[in-house]
Amino acid sequence: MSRKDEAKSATGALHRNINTIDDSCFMARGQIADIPENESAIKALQKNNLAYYVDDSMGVQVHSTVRRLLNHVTKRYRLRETHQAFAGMIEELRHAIQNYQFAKNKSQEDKLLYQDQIHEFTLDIMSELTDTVQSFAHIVGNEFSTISSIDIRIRETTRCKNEIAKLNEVFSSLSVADIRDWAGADLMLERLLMKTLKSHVDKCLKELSTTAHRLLEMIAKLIKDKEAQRLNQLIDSFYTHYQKYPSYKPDLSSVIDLPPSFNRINSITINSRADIDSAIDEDVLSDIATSVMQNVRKEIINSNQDEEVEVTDGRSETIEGDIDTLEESVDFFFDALLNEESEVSELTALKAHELLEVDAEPEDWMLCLMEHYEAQKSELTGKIKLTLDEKVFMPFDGNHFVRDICFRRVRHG
Amino acid sequence: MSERFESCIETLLNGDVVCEASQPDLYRYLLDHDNLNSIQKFLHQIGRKIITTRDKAGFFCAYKDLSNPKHRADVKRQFEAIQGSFEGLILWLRLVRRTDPDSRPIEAGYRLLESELLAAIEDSASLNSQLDEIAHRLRRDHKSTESKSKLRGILKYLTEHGFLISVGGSGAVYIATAKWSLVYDQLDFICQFEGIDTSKPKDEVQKEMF
Repeated sequence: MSRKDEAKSATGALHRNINTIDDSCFMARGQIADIPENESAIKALQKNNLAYYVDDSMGVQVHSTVRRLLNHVTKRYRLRETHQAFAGMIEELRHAIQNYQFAKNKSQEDKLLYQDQIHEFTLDIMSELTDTVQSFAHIVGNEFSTISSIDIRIRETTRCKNEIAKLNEVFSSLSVADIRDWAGADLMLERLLMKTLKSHVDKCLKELSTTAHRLLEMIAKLIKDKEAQRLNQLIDSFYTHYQKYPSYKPDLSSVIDLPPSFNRINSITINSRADIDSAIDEDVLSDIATSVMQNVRKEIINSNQDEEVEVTDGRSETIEGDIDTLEESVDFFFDALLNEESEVSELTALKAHELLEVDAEPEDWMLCLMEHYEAQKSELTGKIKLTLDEKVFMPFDGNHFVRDICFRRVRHG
Repeated sequence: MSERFESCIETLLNGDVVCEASQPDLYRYLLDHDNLNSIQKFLHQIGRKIITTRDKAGFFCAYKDLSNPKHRADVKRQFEAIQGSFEGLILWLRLVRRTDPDSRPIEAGYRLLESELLAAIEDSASLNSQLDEIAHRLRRDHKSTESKSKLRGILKYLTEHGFLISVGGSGAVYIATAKWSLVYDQLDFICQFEGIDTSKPKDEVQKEMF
């Protein structure tokens, strides 16, 4: 069969059995069940090298090229480490360019052969790079949502991020200087490598860099999620434990090596006093002293203000109060003496003290009578005459010992 | 010596946990390796050292040598002071987690809005009863019948003990400090030491529909 016939036969086999192939690729990891219904499909695919028999247990397997084709056309991406493949492709391209440069002035046929190879390798790199960029974009979009374990998701995301770093490293060999060196003075190479390849690689790497940044954010979020999951588990464990043992109290008395989390110091407050002999701080200390003095003065004024008692106008109010018995006795004494109708016109303090049964010492009683007399002197002068029964205490004749006071009503007319 | 060095030493010796929320300036100062070294060098000379929480969210001061009986007694006293509040704190962590849309636990930097918490509590009888329990455990205003007053009491307790800081001055927004990181580290150790089961609980099987 000619090449074209082989290609037609293969694509025909794919077209005719696409349902079986699609089911096997997307639902059975590429395995085709060896059952009578699939017999014709198996035969057609095996004939065109698109499937092969593995063993009795695994049956027939669709070729990985077919799976890759289906993944490509249906945009199903799986993370594949491609940096080494790219390194190989770049190396192949470099080799083809060297051969092309060598054959250019020698053999036209060889030149055309290597020219085609250069085209093919360049476009392979470009399409493979586009696929890689798309596959990473797909991963970022999905965030490995089909994987339930946070640990595996962290691992897979980290792997993606590392793969991008490796790809960057591989493509760093495609620097402008290197490509210019490869192209030399050849216009075809210059256009192909400098314009087409380089611009495509730059665009894709830029996209990969954005993806890598997003992957870093995803890793940070996943790590945070994992920590949150751990803490939630810790909280719930303690809660369950407290529910189970209501009087539970942690006891670490037997711990020999306490962990850092329990090793907290007792607080120490750092206090200091000013060096009042310091010449450098003289001005500052002087300012502080002045301000303290001002504050103290203010405080004194404030405290004095605080002591002021608010005065309310109570002139119209009637206040009832108990009369002091001593004052009452004093009033009785002068009332009795001033009463014109009374036969008593003379009364001594000590006699009255006895008669009125005054609840005070005689000395105090006499003082009270004298105070009252002095206070009412203007009123009582001319009405009452007062005589002191006294003697001088020597050696100072200015000292008088008053034994009694005699009050006498002055008779008028 | 810089002003921040001085503040750092004072804060650390005061027994505070330095973190982004509580002391942003000092926290950033301590993130610098050289600054951290100079602080460490100073503390070593007075028998102390600086330690970070496991999540690196907070710095605190510890004794350099715990074989000293006086230091050990200090540490013991501190543990006795906190062990009684663990249950209340656990209940609080569960309550706040229930009100979080992503069921995230409180961590350093977590933002709490009093109004949102109160709204969630007032809408749910079970959260209300959890709040009662927390107020009781932390001995905060448990005689009050109002949720708002209980919640305020608890928030006040957590602020006074350095777990939260009030931002904005209104007292309605709080940020969690790295003291929670320290609590988690302590709980981790207790779990390991006392053999508390931290495995994921198995999914409960529904027995009957009716």
